[in-house]
Amino acid sequence: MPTLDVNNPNQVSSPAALDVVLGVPQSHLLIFTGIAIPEYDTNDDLIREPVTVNLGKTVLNPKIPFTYSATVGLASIGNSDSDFTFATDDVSVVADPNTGELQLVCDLAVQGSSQLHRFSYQANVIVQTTQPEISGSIFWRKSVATALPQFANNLFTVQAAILIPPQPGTFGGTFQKVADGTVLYPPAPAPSGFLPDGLFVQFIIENPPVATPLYVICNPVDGAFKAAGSQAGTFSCATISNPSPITLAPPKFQLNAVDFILEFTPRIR
Amino acid sequence: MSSFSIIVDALAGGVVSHRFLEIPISGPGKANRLVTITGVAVPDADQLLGNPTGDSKYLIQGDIVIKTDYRLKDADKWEGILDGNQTLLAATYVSLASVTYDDEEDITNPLSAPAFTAAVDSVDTTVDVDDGNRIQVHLVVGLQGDTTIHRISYQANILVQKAG
Repeated sequence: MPTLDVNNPNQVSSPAALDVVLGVPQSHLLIFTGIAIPEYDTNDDLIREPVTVNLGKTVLNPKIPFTYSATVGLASIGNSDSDFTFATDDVSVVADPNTGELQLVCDLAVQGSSQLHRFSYQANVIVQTTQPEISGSIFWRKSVATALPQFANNLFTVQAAILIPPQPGTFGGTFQKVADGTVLYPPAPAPSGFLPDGLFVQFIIENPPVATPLYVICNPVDGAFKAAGSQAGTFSCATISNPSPITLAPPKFQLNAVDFILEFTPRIR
Repeated sequence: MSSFSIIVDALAGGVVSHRFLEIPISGPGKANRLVTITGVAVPDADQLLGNPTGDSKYLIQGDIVIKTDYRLKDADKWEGILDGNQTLLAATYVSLASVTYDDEEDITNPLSAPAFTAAVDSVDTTVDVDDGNRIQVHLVVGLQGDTTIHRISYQANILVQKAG
């Protein structure tokens, strides 16, 4: 499959790109135009082949779906006295899964003693300039728990996980981690209107998968907290008002205020 | 080397289906409109135009200038709206729309060629400040054989800062 590049004038003539800021924050319209030069030559038989044009612009995350419209047309054709076919049959725009570079893919067809020297293209692509992100806060009451100093920067773990369905005939399912979160220290006093005796830390999960149901799992680090009154028991994090699962999809790739609160369950004697 | 030059004027019947659309935008830079200008130009560029000797077997190149129906007002800006740009911020699509080729060899003309090429080789879009800031699309085309490019489709996309 031939690949052409907009940075090579022997492969694309008159390449141009516009990066238009739309009214919706973080949404950009990218317009690509040019005249691709596949110099496609054939003798008699009908030949179809896709041609890729590297458009010279990358998206931040190639796994994020984007919307586009595109058109292609004949720009330069030649024939040496035979029946002929010249066709631009199909066009699409994709992002290279490794580099994120946007690419236009055009299916060409040529028949006869013919040359399809050039074809024109215009691709309009709407991309998001923000990274997918889930963030929130983890609260605890000083009257319930005290963080031990040696765990000052290691109080909680947060991760995004997907749910692996259970085997047939069984219940439940298992969580599989897909992205780690970062907890931001040190703790700060919680808003007095919400939790007068509280502290909180914030967390952020960067680049979680999009278009996938995600579960945010928050746990206190073992031994990081001491219960008030030195009671024996276990700590866990409960959700406050989070949607679950969370699915990030266009045009919303960021979800904030995914909040948790630390709870203590005394051991039953 | 250019063998011929043709000017087609949208306001003088040289372009069919000519339209433009001004779309409000929030950038880049100071740009506040994306203007799309479309049409089907009718240059009727014939190989004989640039080749009065009738020898059509050689590929010749010529220029076509499409004077569009979109005109910037004096208060509108297209320079210095993004990183000090000195050229119009434009991306333009052009394509062959109507082409004919006559394969009947002229037995009285020993130079006639049983082959053709019809080509749009390059495009650039500018502001014609000498014609009331009209947007014009300049093409370099190629012709070989008894060939005519009757029509060329275009869509010029430009960024401007409209006043008001």
